[in-house]
Amino acid sequence: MSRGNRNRKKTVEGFFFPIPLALVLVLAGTLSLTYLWLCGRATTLGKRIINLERQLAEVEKHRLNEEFKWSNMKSPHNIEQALKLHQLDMSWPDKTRVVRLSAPNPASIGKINVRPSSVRTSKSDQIRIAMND
Amino acid sequence: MIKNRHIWRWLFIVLLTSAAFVGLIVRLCALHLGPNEKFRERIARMRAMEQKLVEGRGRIFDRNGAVLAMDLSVQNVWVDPDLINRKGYARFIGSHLARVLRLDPAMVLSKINRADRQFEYVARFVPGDTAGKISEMKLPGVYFEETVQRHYPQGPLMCHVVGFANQEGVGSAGIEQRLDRYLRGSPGLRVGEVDGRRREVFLRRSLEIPAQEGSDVYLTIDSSIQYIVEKALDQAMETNHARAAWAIVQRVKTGEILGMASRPAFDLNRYRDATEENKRNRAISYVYEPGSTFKMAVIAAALNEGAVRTDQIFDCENGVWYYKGRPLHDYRPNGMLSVADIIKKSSNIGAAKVALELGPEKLESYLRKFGYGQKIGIDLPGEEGGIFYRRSRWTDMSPTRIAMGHEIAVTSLQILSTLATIANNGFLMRPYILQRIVDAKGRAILETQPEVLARPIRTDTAATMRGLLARVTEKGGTGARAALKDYKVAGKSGTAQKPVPGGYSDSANIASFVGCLPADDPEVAIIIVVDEPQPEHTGGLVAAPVFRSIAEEIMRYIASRPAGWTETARTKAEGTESGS
Repeated sequence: MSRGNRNRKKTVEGFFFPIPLALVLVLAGTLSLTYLWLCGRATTLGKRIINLERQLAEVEKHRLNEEFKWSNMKSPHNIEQALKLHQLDMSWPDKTRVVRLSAPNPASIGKINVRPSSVRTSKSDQIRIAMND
Repeated sequence: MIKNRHIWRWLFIVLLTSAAFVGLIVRLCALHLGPNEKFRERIARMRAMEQKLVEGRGRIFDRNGAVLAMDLSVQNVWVDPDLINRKGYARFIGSHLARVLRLDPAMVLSKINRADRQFEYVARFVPGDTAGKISEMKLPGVYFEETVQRHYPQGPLMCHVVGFANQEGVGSAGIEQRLDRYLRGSPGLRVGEVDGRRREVFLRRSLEIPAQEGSDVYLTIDSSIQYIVEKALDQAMETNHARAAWAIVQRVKTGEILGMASRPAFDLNRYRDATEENKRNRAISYVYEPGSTFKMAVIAAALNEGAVRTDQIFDCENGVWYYKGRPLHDYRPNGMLSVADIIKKSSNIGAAKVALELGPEKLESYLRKFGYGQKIGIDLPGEEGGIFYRRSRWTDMSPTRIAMGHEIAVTSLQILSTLATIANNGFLMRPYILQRIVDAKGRAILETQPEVLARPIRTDTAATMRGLLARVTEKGGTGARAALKDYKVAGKSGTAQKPVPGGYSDSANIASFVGCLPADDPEVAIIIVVDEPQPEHTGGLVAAPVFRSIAEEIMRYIASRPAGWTETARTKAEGTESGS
């Protein structure tokens, strides 16, 4: 093979970009892009926070308005008007018509103690509970 | 390869582009690095944002948690007349605003036509719904300013107790005034920057001080009991064509006020339309000569001192008795009466003689212990202490006149407190309306406890007095119309002529009835006062029936309450009582 057919790539003259510099530039570029992305993300979150704050204020206003309307509806005067409107004749019961239930201890509230009937039953029979109307 | 004749074109383009970029870079450097304080300040001013965060005033509740007063967000509607007139939209915008806001179109137009101004309020404190309708119209030159306004969901209910806050958010009457420093919150502040579209940039927010909400106030008043009382007073005003009427309901063992009403009244949401007369809380501020209701204090004092006995007989002179040359009259002539019957039949002559037996020194001492002549100390503004002169200013006649409830001026609260003392085994409790104050975080920062102010009489005297007062509501007693079917009532009626220049009026009276029930172990005490009733004018005929209707319904209401309702704020006095 003649000298002219040597692999020219091995002897190409030109400028070689230093690899460390390239790495640094790539790193810098990556960091810059990451920073820009984070800035954008933070701005988006900031806008979202402001929107949510505005929504919270609106919801709070709405809640107060509803609370006002409800309080107004529940006023004794309006309840009396509503009773009249629906032709309901209601008054507070006198003391002989009030039944008070008291629990012996708080743990027993909501539980019903069932005693087996004194009538003898076969094992297959279920426990019968007498209820007085 | 670029031909020689084209190379100059390329060079020119490159130079031009380079010059442009260099120019931009130089300008950027000049702007950022050069001395441009003026520009920087201008930009900073345009971008700066300072927003006041509106604080909410604390709410007021009754004892059951019903809302009595609260803040609502409203809008002030304002316009830019200069802009509107330049665009020629004055009539169009004026007519729309007047229609939605229900205002006089001429008035609205007159505000919009002020072309020399850039800010003009059209309507203030507009509800959110209405402001929303205007906002949807997108009218140019119309803007909104957010604010808060105090609202009272119960309207005129317990108006004199709750009071109102003015447009500046300052409490001006009642509890709103008395507890203003607790109810008032403090505004917050937000400092930051805005972008080109005037939207806040969250990342530039440099300061945020949250608004401090005011504390919530809970009262001892029960809305249902209050309504019962107010309805009865309205009925009494109408039936008796009275000038005014008022009532108080109190729990005797603790001093809690369950209801306090005064007529005439006003709507708290329209307080600016109310007259001063309507705003007056007569239950604590109206001073009057009590008449016969005062006899219970005098006789209780005499019994406690041992100056008289219940079965001791006094000559009531058949209706006219001359003492120190001056006549003293009974409403109905009576002969010989025991002390017990002096109360039952309400004999002025009998009471005067009992007072003389007690003596002026002891009389004054006991009446001062009962709290007369000074404010009792209820937690409401405007309380009066009444008029009770020192003994040095008394004449020889004074004990006889004071015994029948003249020559002394009191408030209804003082009379009620006397009866409550008798009902509570001799312990005078401080009446109070404030139950507790809770801050925005739900912590109780103040809680009222029952307080014993004095002990004017012993337990046995109090029990004796209750027995005597119970006879007043029996057949033949002056308070028979106050009797209830299911409960025994211990009480006293009163009819006092109102003083006029030169003497007393023949036609203007103050009719009252004060009672407690059940008589053997009283739970509540109630006083009813009717000012200038017509045509009937006595306490037994006018005030006693009102007492009965209120007491009947209140006792049914109380009987249906859960056990904890009556045991709220368990009294220190009970502990004191059991130890005495």
